[in-house]
Amino acid sequence: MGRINSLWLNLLSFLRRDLRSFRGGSRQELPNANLDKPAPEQLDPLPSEINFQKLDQLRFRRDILDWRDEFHVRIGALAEELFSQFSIYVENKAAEVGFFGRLFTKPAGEILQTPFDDLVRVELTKRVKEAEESLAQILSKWPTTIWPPFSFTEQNLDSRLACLDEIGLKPTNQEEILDRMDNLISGEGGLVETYRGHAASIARKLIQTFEATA
Amino acid sequence: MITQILFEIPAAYEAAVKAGSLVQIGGLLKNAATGQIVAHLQESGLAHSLISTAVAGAASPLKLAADVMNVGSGVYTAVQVTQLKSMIASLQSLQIATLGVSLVGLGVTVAGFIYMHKRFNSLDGRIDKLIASVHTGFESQREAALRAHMSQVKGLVKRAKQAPTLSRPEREYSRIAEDFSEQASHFEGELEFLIKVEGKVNVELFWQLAQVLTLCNSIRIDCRIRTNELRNAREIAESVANDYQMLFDQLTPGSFQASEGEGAVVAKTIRDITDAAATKPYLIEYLRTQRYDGREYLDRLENETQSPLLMLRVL
Repeated sequence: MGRINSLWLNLLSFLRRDLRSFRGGSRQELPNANLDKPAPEQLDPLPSEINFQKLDQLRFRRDILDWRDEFHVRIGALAEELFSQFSIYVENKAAEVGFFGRLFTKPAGEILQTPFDDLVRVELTKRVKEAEESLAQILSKWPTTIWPPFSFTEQNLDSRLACLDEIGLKPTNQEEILDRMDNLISGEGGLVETYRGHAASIARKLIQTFEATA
Repeated sequence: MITQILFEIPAAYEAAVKAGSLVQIGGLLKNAATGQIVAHLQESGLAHSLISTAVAGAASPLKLAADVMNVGSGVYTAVQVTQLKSMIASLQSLQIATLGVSLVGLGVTVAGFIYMHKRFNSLDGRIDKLIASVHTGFESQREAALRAHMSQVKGLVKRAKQAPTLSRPEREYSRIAEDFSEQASHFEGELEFLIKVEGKVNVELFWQLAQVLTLCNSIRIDCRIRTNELRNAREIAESVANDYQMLFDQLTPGSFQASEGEGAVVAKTIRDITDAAATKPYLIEYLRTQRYDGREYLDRLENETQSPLLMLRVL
């Protein structure tokens, strides 16, 4: 009975053994990676794998996008203000048209071209020049890069009031004239949108140039 | 030699930023003369809890600051209001223009999953209402898909909340990170669609979807940091930053159905968010090279009770 008990205990003890101990040596003798490792406090920093130059790209990108966004807002606000001033001019001008003038109206485009240039176009161009100057200032902070031309162009800008060629200037046409003017200034494909498109294109090119040369 | 994680309060840097000797880029500060990174801006768990409570449902970035302060006085204790005010003041002193960025994480996001759950619930409700009430270009099939994804995201946050009780949470965090990656792709696609669809972008829907996207990505990164996969976390953070640039750079103040003023605030906010995302890899890389334990780092931030914003000084 005692022998059976002893065998039974040996078997139990065998089954309870740590599997790793079958590879030879006791559990305590197994190599322990953690024990071999020095404590973290004793290690030097690892070499960095990140591109620090990208921080300059990031900063440049932000400067340029902020410039683009600011121009976007300022040109829109200015256009709104100028249109409102020009509307008053058109109202006054239409009110001045006499009886015969109403019968034989002159094309609004012909009468309004010069005042439009003076009151609206010149002011918008001034704002565009200001934007070019502020951009030049931003770029001067990055003197090592050769920049592509970054001036706004007059391309795609309707320099004539062609939209008013077939409409006479008189009080009854005033609303129609102002609608067309509003569209010319702030509508789809209008002056503001075209300038904004130019700014977006300039920004894109500059960012590409910087990232290509950095 | 490796030393302890060294946090400081933002006030210690404000004067140097103001004087121009330190330059802020996204969530980090650089020495203007040497170009060396001096410190990383890092939100703590306290920031997350403070912000989440008040502004989870803010309609747009413009309303955010006002909402924080207005809701703040009703919901918060006097101490919390003071902490919020100091956080906003710190962001402004460090020349981070918008508060919106604080909703999506400065430094690595400490995804206090309880707060995340609340925020996703709130975003879900708001998105639901928006889709129902305005014409957003969503067809019914897309609406249904969006709702399904919101539910999945909420389910994932629940899983993340429960993960610490597992004997091996690391595996669960890894799976959650993978699943969040899929969800982030979906919401990125939705945002892309919203931006590309003809006409101007609905600000409120854009803002809610952008928050979901950024939160999904933040949690992905958080989960990788928790499992100490810092190299992978950095890779993800880099890829997320690129995606944000592709998605958001094209948007201007005039891209939104809003006044130019509100559009300008939204544009500024998404620029701050993009920059914060782009500097996140630098912070993660710093943790990796210094051999910091990711879990320990997050624990330190979660347990911070005094300061919503901290600076991790670069040694």
